[in-house]
This record gives sequence, C-alpha cells and structure tokens, in this order.
Amino acid sequence: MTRRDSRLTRRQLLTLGGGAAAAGFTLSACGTGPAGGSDPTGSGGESGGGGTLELWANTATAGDADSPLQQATQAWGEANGVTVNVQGISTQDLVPKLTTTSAGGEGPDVAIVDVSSVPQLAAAQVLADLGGRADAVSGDFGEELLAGSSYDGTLYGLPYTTNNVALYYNNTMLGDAGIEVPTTWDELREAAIELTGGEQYGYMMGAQGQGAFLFWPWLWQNGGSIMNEDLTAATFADDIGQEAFAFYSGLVLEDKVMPPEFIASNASWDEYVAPFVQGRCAMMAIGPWGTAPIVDGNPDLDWAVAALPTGTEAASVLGGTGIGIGYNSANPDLAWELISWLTAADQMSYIQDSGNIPGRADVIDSDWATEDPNRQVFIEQMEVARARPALPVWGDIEWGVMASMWDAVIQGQQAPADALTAAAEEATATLSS
Amino acid sequence: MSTVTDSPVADRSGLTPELQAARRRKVRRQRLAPVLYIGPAFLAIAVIIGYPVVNAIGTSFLDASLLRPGQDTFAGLGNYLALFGDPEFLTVLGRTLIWASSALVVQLGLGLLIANTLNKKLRARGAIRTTLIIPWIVPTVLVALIWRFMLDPVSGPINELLRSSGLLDNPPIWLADTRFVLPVLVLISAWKWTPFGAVILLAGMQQIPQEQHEAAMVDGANAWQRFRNVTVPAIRTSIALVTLTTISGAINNFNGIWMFTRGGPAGATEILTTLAYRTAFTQFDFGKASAISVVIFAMMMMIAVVYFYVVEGRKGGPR
Repeated sequence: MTRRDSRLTRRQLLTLGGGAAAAGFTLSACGTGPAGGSDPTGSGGESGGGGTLELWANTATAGDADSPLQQATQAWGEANGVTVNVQGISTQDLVPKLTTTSAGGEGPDVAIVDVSSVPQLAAAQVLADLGGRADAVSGDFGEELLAGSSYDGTLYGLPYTTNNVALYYNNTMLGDAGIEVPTTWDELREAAIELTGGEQYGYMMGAQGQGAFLFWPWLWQNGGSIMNEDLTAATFADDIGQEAFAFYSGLVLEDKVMPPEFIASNASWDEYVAPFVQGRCAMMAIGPWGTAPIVDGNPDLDWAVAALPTGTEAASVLGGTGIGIGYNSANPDLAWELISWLTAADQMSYIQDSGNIPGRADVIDSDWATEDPNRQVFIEQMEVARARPALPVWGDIEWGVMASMWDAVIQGQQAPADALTAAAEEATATLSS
Repeated sequence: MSTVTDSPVADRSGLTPELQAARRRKVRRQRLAPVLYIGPAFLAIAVIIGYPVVNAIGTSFLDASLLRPGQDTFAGLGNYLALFGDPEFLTVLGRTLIWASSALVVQLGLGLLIANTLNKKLRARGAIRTTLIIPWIVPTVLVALIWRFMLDPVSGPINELLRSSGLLDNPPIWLADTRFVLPVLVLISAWKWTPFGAVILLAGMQQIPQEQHEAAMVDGANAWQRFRNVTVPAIRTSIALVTLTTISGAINNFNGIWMFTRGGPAGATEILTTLAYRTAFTQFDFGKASAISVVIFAMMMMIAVVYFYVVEGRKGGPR
C-alpha cells in the first residue's frame, strides 16, 4: 500500500517538474536541488545502518557549521556514534521542497518546520505521526503549543521554538512626543496618529501575507475567531470580525499612520522592519525575529518591547517551530532519540543561544526569562498567544486568500467589509475543496 | 546523343551484382550511422523531457493533491473546465499575453535601435558591444537585487533623483503600485534581455553587403529609408528569431516576476507561470497546476511551430 502510494506520488512529482520543463519554465526559484531527492549525503531512505541522520530546517535555524543547532546535533552525534547532516533551506522553499521530496518517497529523518505548516506536512505525509513516542514528554509543553504541532488531534512534532507578536516601540520618538506606551486599541490609534507627521510615521503594517498574519491578534482580541469549532467554515467576517477589521484597515485607510512603502513589504521581514530600524517609524507589531535586524542595523536606536495593546481581551498570534520525524525516514527510532534529546531541558541553552524562545513550559519561570525585559514580554505573552487553525490548507488561506484580500484593501480596490466577507466565503470554499 | 547522356548512368548500373550489393550495404550503413550517433541522445531527451510531458498531461486529467497522497481520482476535463470557467484564470491568461507582447515591442524596438547604431563605424565599438552585453549575463537573482535597490521607495537612487530634481515630490512606489508595476517589470526584463536580441540582430545586419547601403545612398535614400528598405528586409530571419525567443522567454519568465513581486500587488503581476507555481506549491493542487502547465506548453508549441515555418522554412534547408 505504502509502496503503491509512493509510486503514484512520485509520478505526480515528475509530472509537474515535467510540465514545467516542457514549458521550459525553470523552477530554479522554488528549490535548492532536484526534487527527486538524489542527495548523495544520504537521506533517510538509504541510511539503513543507523549511522546517519538527515535534518532539514530553514536557513536561519540551521545556520552555519558552528550555529547552536549544529553544535547540539554534533554533540549528540559524537556521543551516540551518529552522523547528523543538518541542511538549511530558505524559508520560502522549505515546505515545497519537503513536500515534493516526500512525494518522491524520500526526505529527511528529522525536520524543523514552522508550526503553521505542520498540519499541511502531516496531511501530505511529510511528517510522521509521533504515535505514543511523545506520551512521556508531552507534559513538558504548553497545550496551545502542542496544538500547534498537531493535526486532527494527533501529534506530528514537538514544539521546538515558540514566539508571538508584541509591540516594538521607539523610546525616543514616544518620549519626545510625551506619549505613553499604548495599552488599548484607542491608545494605539491616538499615539500612531500623533506620531505621524512629515517624514515620521506612527505605526508599521505589512502587505500581502504579512498583513494577513498580523490581523489575527486583533481579531482574537475583539472576541472573534478564524474558523468554527469543527473547522468547516470561516468565521472571521462575522460582526465581531468586521469590527476588528475596520479598526485594522482603518489604520491604513483613514488614519494613514504607516510609511507609504509598507505596501511593498510583501515577503521579507527585512522590508517590514526597515522603517523602524531607520528611526522613521515609531511602532510596529512583530515577533522576536524583529530584534536582530534592529541590533544589527541601528545599534544606537533606543527601543523596547511591550505587550500588544489589548481589546476586549488580550491575545497574540502563536508562531515558532515544531520538530518532527520524516515520514519516509528509515530510522524513526533514532530520529526520535535526537528529537527528544534536542527538546529536553538540558539542551535549552542551544535554543536560547540562537535568540529563540524554547517551546518548553518550564522556560516561563526560568531565570533566563526574566533576565531581559524584552524577552520577558514575549514569554509572558505565551499565556495569551493562540495557534492558528490546524488545517492542511492553512498556507493557502493565510498567504493566498487573505493575502490577496488585504492587498485589494490597501490598494484601494475593494472596501474592507466587502473584501473580508468575500475572503471568508473563499476560505470556506477552500476548506471543502 | 542519347548514348552520351546515358553513358554515366550505364557505367554506374554496369557494376556487377556483388558490387551493387556491397554498395547498398555501405549506403545502408551510412544511413544507419547518424541514427546510432543521435540515438542515445534522442533516447535521453525522450526520457527526460518526453516522459514528464506525457505525465504532466496525464496528471492534468486527475484530481491530484499532495495533501491527499495516493488518493488521486480521474477528473476528465475537470481541471481545464475549472480553469477556463474561472474569470481569474482568464485574467491571468490575458495578462500573460499583454506581458509577452509588451516585452516584444520594447525588446525588439530597442534591439533594432541598438544593433543599427552599433552596425556603424564607431570608435570603441568592441568595448561598447561588450559593455552592452553585461546585463544579459547577470543572473536574475542579481537583477532582482540591483533593481529592487534602484527602485527602493526611500533610499533608491531613482526616486531620490526624481525628488531632488523636482520632477516629482512623491514618486510612486514602483513595485507596489498596481498602475506601474507591470510596465516597470517589462522594462527591467528588457534591461536584461534586449542585449541578447541586439546581438542577434547585429549579426544579421553585418551579413548585409556594404554595397547595398551604398547603392541606396546613391539613389538618395535617407538613413530611415535605408534602414526600412535595405536593413529590415535583409534581416527578416533574425527579426523573426528575436520575436519568437522574446515571446516564449516572456511567457516562461518566472523568476523575473517572482523575485520582485510574487505576482502581487493584488495580483497585478500574476502570469501563468507564477499561477502554476502558486497552485502547485501553495495549494498543492498538482492536477490543476499540471493543467496550467499544459496550457503554457500548448502556447509554446504554437510558437515552436511558427518558428519552424517562418525561420527554418524560409532558409529552405538544413542550417
């Protein structure tokens, strides 16, 4: 059965590559290597002897030879007589590459992936069901984080890193204007309007998928939800959702508090943080990955992080990575040993050294959490951070349907309320397709 | 009389049967040789290109999603009906044609201008020609980096110049403005690809005997008339070649759009290739993505057929 499946899907894979090749259109932008998985370093399908594990992660997580992750895997490998090959793949290419190689019956033994793609990778048979393996350790992680690594009630990975979105603000700009750090929607709006003028702007927003992703906290804060309980219909365009979206889009359309070039910030977070780093924009909502570009790009900037301003309730959007076993791994037991070791309390320093927050629950009360006030904001917000719906088609809803909807709104092509209603209908249609 | 003309034929047919057989074997061997030489390469191409093409066409008739591995079902013309019944797809198809024809007008026009200029006796012609070809060899990734920097709304030199020269106080955000983004990408793509066409056109122009230009000059033809009536007819084949490669290159251009806008803003730069990619790798709908690929393939086949009739056919024989 499995054999037949993999043959069928391998054919599909060749098929698309072929259609593309036939049309002469190179897929060079979509992957770093042949999708067929002819990787000489030996992927799971060939290792057999138990001596080699292949680990894939995005480029930032994999890092170079002395990155914290590589140090960790090397330490474990030496202790256990296993060679661990860590391969970094650009964030945009990671999911397509994992999906196509797995369809071809290949793929890594271990993968570290964005939590929002776990359901999709589970459905596509890229990640393996952890089965009972995780029972002994799942208590070490918060419920919402485990939900973020699950699909259909089954665990497909352990939380590796976690993050959420908070408010970055420019101390100097707020201080000069005599404005307190906003804690409510109204305060945020007033502060943003106040801080906008001349070459200076109050608040940063993103285009396309960035704008879609950053809407969720406001929706939840207003008491709204993205999907109904059984994940069969989109609910984000109900009255509560419309109210939240009117606030969110109003910052763009009515208040015009963002740098005009925000409409070009469509894929790379570097574009999103640039106005803040340049000291032209006073506030932005982003996760901990916003810190490094500020520190690197403008070390003199006086800035800090605060919890997101709240609506009727507090909420932020949960991000981060999960670590799971490759579906086609020939060595799932060994892969699991590595995963459970990497996510154990003793190895947290490796994740902390990478600037990320470990997904373990005990990190909340650790000394490390309180040692940096900005870090503490994110760790405290873990309590109110929510996972997005565990749907295989989630990527298409967030970076397809919602991204196009948001672009149509900020480009002035569609009224916000109409756009949101249409997007909800389209998202619901996507669910049943 | 007839014996004289017939004599060589008679000589040939006067060979003994053994010799005739030997000759036939030799001819057969000679005919077989090219097949043997080309065979392996042909087979490799058939496997590498032919097999996937057949499979792509096959998958385009399936309801195939990577999110449901191993559960493909036959969909008949379902994917095609869905595509051609979808106004969004038709918009993208139309945009692809606009994109390709704009690329043609700009690249062929500029290519002719550049080639005609370089075909004159210029000082440092070699150096100019070498400089001109540089954009063509720049990898698309670098092209994207260069032009994203050039067009950066805040720190990019182009908007800086527009502001400081007083031409525009608020220059557009070129790559995020639905009114300008497609023309801007056409120009950037022309920046990269025009040199290629110019070189081909220049090669064609250099085949024209100088006497033809001189004769036209004696007849009192001005520069435009000489270009129109001497140069253009003489390089028709080169023009056809550049036309077809430009159109096919534009239809197939994925990187030139994806690396700038990913098809945005608000879908303003979505063409068939970006749509196929999105359908395959965001929606994982390989059936539909294959159907889009087949549409692209059909368009390329039409261009290939035109190419063989116009370019290869005109020469009346193998090159």
